[in-house]
Amino acid sequence: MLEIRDLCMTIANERAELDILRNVSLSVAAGESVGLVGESGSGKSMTLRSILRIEPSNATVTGNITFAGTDVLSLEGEALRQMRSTDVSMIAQNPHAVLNPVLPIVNYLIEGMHDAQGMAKGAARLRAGELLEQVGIDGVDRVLSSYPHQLSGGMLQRVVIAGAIAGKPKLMLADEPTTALDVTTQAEVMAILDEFRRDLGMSMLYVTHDLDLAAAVCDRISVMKDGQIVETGVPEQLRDNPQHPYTQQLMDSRPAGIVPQETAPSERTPSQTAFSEPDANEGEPK
Amino acid sequence: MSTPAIVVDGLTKTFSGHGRHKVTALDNISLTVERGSCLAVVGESGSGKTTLARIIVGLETADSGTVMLNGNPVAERASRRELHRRAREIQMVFQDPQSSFNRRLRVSTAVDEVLRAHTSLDARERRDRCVELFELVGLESRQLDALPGELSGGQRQRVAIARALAADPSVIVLDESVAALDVTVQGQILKLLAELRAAKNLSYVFITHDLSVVQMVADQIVVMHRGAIVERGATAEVLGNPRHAYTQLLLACVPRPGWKPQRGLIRAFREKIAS
Repeated sequence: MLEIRDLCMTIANERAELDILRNVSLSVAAGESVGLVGESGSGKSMTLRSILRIEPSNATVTGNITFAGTDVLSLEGEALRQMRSTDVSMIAQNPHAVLNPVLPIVNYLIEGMHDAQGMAKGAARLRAGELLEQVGIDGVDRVLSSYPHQLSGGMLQRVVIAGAIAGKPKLMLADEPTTALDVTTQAEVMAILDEFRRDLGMSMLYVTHDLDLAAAVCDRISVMKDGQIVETGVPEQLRDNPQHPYTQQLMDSRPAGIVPQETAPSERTPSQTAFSEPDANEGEPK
Repeated sequence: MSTPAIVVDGLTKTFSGHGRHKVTALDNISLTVERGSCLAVVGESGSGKTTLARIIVGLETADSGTVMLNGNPVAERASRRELHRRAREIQMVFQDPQSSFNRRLRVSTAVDEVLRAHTSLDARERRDRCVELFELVGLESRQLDALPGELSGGQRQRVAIARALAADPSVIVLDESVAALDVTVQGQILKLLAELRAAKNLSYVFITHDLSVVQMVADQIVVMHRGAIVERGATAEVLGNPRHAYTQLLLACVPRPGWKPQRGLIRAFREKIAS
């Protein structure tokens, strides 16, 4: 589906030339989910941006990117627009940067369906409502007529996901889609993303700094540092037998197993869990 | 037993939103931070944890309730002298090391300002003290004259800690102080904070949304949800045997090896919390 070979990126400013990416190679098969994990400045976002050709204007990119048999780096004009509008969709970290603040949510959702897929506006509006329901939004009509500032970050990110899956793209690019969200909202949004990816058989390239989060939704993971991929493997392999010291370091910086296994909430179903009320003396100083 | 570092009793704070809409940020909050201990205040956005932190250091006033700092009340309307005295007892480190510095001033100046306000040292002695403080937080003396923009996020957060320590406080309130940092840097800063606490018998109020960070630093935890404390106790006890549904939900959502996000589970927890 997606094949990146020896991708290099250099950004020149007035003082120096910076090597942002150094011989990055990775592949995503049809229906496969691949994680790209690294810390800030590792080049993971830039790799993602090169695929849509939205790298910074002063960047020089060399190497090869093939998407569904097409050489992406030589795409121009209408062909590039076609790829961006129908074949590949992207979810960015900050939904506010994606959604137009002066237009209601409904405009964002029907724009793609109307313009790119030629759907009639009425039909597109109905479909937008369906999509929002699918991503777990209650009160769809209210949300459709809302403006971005009236909704929470988690709600907006669901809207962006709904927009991203509207055209049933072949490849989903996700750049830290839950980093700005609360931990419970993050789990919910990731569950939704994962569910849709599987249902629609989409490929996904998922950029995150969180190795455990990537392991939860990815078939394979590449670890990036200083513009290079230092290790690629299935999540269990990276966890149990990391080959590169940096992968080990990433593992060690998070406490292993935050709760003893037998009491981990994921181990129980809610019906089995004894939901206790807060202590009667809550609110009293100890 | 010595006087607790902080005693918060019955703190309530309401913000007025649009029109008649009112938001209860804090609803009858009481807690105690023993001297030399670290209390983590855990909650998501909107839980009231930052409002609590701001009231404790006196940046915000409560509608009702009291805060005792080392046995003295944090007065609602403090005189300049009172504020000056309080600054030597309690300091705060914020989330964003970028916006908590003047980007045109050298970082040593930021630390020097605190020394000038709170000590009687002359210029040379202050410079020496800056060097000491930088060493203490793991920075090199050549970084004294850097501008904030020339340092990494982790280094800037070290400067913020050095600045807090310059006033020689007994209590530090850390509001999401490691949230903006990469995980490997997070680990280093948490280690530094633990060492400083032990060396100087500091007390911490550690505000965070991140449960995986909590167990690395805190002795005690309070879990906040919509302005109220829903659960409290020793760190190992709360994390190992969470009793309130909201704490259970938080724990169920922390990514860890073998973890999968489950929509149904989250929904079930949310319904339980709402009921």
